[in-house]
Amino acid sequence: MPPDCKPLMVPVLWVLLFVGLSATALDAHDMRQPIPILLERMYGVLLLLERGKTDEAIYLIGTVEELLQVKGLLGLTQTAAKLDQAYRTAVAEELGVAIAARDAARLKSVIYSLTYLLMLEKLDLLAAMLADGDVTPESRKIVMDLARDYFSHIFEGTLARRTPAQVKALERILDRMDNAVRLQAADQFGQLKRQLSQTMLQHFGSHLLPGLPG
Amino acid sequence: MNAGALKAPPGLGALACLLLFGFGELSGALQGGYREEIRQYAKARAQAHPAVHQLTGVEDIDQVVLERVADRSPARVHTFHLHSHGLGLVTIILLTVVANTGFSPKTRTALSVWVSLGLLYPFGWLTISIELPTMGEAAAFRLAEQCFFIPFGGAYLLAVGALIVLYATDLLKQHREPTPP
Repeated sequence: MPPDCKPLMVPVLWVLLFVGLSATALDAHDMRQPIPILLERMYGVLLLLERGKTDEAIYLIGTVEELLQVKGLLGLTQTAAKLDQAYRTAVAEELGVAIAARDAARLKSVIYSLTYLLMLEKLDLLAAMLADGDVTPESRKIVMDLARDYFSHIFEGTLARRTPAQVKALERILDRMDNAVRLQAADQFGQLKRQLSQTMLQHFGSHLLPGLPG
Repeated sequence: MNAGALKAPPGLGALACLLLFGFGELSGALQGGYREEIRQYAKARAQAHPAVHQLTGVEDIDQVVLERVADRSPARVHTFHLHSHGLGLVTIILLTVVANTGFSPKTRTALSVWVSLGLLYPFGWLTISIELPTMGEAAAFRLAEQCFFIPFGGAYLLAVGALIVLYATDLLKQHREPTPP
């Protein structure tokens, strides 16, 4: 190395370190709240399905059911059934059919649809919370964060490379929703919620089961 | 203060410091040995007070809220553990300083009692830890503030302030007095 280059080495290394750290931060799907077991395992199932490991994915679904029941929580099937009842969908039935047929594509659609409904459940609850003055900002933030975590972990985590523009568009809507929640702007939040669900159905329709509410 | 013959702090004051140390040790042992039990207990008690914690009935949301209570309750026990050790140590030093000043016996006793009252301050953290699951964090903190932080923490601050002023005044007085030939 030429001696006159030496003084430049330290600043260049610092710049490289800074750029490296920034890139990591931009790439990471930071979770805002502790990851619920269901979300964590659904992500695991999706990753196995992506790698073509359908049998392992189905086995993991079985262990999730057991683990959640031991902890006194609703399993995947029970969660799907609960959401089906609330949103008049048939995700639980689809889950059973997909497992019985060992159909990886259908199983992926079930997981994405379940995530979409879980997000919708949080956002609907948040709309009601925004109208209630007794709800603390912290409680509202937890619900918004969770809805966002479901999106980040499942949709962004698995589709960001294939459809980066669509994921970015949805992230922008989620940013505006975050802001509306902070400002307690119920009307704006309602509009953004509709926009988000419509955009998700439009962009990720091929990954979701048909007939999901918008 | 005569460095050659250091006087011991008052027995009752030293005992109070040791007691606080003991409570601190006990809380440390409890949180070390029974952390999961404390978490589960806090969670169960919080679950019995859904309105306080604004539980929604949606399982994954409520899990986050309950986990937060389960994390924060033992965290306050840990704060009590740290503060009781720290305050016990600092107080025994302050009591030794008071015992070795040239103040009148009445002033020394008053200052020692005043400083020792501050030993009750860390129990505010324990109060938060115990009451957080049933009252919520903000209400538990207010209770601790009213019962411990303001009266005893305030007393401690004032006592330390008074000790500094009296000690400095005494030093100045000694400095101005002509030294015997």
